[in-house]
Amino acid sequence: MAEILLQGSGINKSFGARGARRQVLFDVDVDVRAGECLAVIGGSGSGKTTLTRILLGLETADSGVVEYRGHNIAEGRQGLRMLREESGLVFQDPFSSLDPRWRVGSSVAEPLKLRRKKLPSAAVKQRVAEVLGLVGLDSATLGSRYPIDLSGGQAQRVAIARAIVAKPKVVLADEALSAIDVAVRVQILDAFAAIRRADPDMALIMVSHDLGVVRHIADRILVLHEGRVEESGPTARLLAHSQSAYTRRLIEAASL
Amino acid sequence: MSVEIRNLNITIGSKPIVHDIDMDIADGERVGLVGSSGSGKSMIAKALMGLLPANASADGSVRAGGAQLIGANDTDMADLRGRYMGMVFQNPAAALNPVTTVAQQVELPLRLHYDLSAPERQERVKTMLSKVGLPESALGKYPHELSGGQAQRVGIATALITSPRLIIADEPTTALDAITQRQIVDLLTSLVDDAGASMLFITHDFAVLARATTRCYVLEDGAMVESGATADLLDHPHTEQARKLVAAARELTLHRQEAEVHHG
Repeated sequence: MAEILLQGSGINKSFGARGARRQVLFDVDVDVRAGECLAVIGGSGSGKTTLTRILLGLETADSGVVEYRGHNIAEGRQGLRMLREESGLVFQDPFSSLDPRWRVGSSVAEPLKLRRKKLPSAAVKQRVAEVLGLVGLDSATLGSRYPIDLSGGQAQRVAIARAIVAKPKVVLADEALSAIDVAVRVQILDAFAAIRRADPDMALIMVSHDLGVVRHIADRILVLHEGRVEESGPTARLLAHSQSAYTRRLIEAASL
Repeated sequence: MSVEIRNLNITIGSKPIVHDIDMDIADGERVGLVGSSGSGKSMIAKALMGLLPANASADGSVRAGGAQLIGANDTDMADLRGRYMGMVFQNPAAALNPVTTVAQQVELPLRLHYDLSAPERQERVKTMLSKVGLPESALGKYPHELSGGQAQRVGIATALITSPRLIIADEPTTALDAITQRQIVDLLTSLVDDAGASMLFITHDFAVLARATTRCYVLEDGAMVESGATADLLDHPHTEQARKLVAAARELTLHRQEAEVHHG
């Protein structure tokens, strides 16, 4: 079996001030292996965004442990530093995640420039063109444009290119298709499939409320409901043999 | 209320937005308008509501319940809209006034357009709230205390409180999660049918469209490219644009067989 990259154990998280405190995650266990696509599925308020942000070290759990490649990310610096350098993020709204004053090429190149080990500028340029090509965009025509000149689908593909430019071991995509027109979502899914083919060891975590959009790409699905793991399993098995009434409602909601 | 649109052209500045639009909605019919972002769907809805932006100009004919809306003066239009039309918007959190309670929000159209006593208004608001499936305790809540689905229920209550004859729903489910989307579509269609009202339902999603409407129009780049029974269109789209939207909907939904569930 492939290496476990990320492992979360017994994760609890609450938000809000004393008195109005609300627990959003209850003893959640989850692991993410190299090369797999894990979909984290649930309705609004299920805790899926909070869980995955905790896994990627963007938020801290109240209790429980997150290990990245065997290092507890809350202890010492090494685990969190490795995770930061080896992860990429794609969010829901591409226009608010791209700096409007930066050209596409500069936005995509930024993660490379932030690395401690600098690449020569020709190599940066080449890598930017390579990743833009991977998501179906032409660097020569789009690289010098600003986000305002892009369609929603193009902007989201730029965000995907930026997420993988520094060859991360794990990419988190949080509702990356929700703000995208239905007809264009297929292109975005194709872009995710392309980046997985280009690096078969990269793990992809896709957060979504919609089973329909992840069914082709996810190897495994984790269903969260009101902060608890409802069930998890390989995609085909979960879709065909779910024992959970909540999962069945999600399946029904994603059916034509 | 029936709607008849003929040769509608809308331009903003010198830019044509939609051209030569013909469209009909029969009394009591639920009709869909589907197309990609930027295809001009919302502009047609705005023309129908008399809410086109100030720099837009429209020509052609838009009749609702027999009244000509193109060139109608603002007072007549406001009266027609207030009494006979209800609107449900995409982002319920933004459509609700953040400083008014649910009760005040839902009551407002009655205060503006009907001569009813306060107790009569409150009674209607209570009844409406239960119709949209919200508990009475929601009356005193503010928008920030509601979930997205609850806020959209308030949006629907506000749209339907005046018993309008035409409901215009512009992407009412796009901002909601998949399970909540279903609930809201089913709620809206059953309330519209119970009231015998007509509905224009705007979306970019054929899967939602199939559930909400019986007939639909496909708009691309400002032109109507196809129309027909929604079920037929899903099975046999004729134009390339409609095929693309249907293919996307199919790609992104589970097939019945695939979703066949073994009940334990």
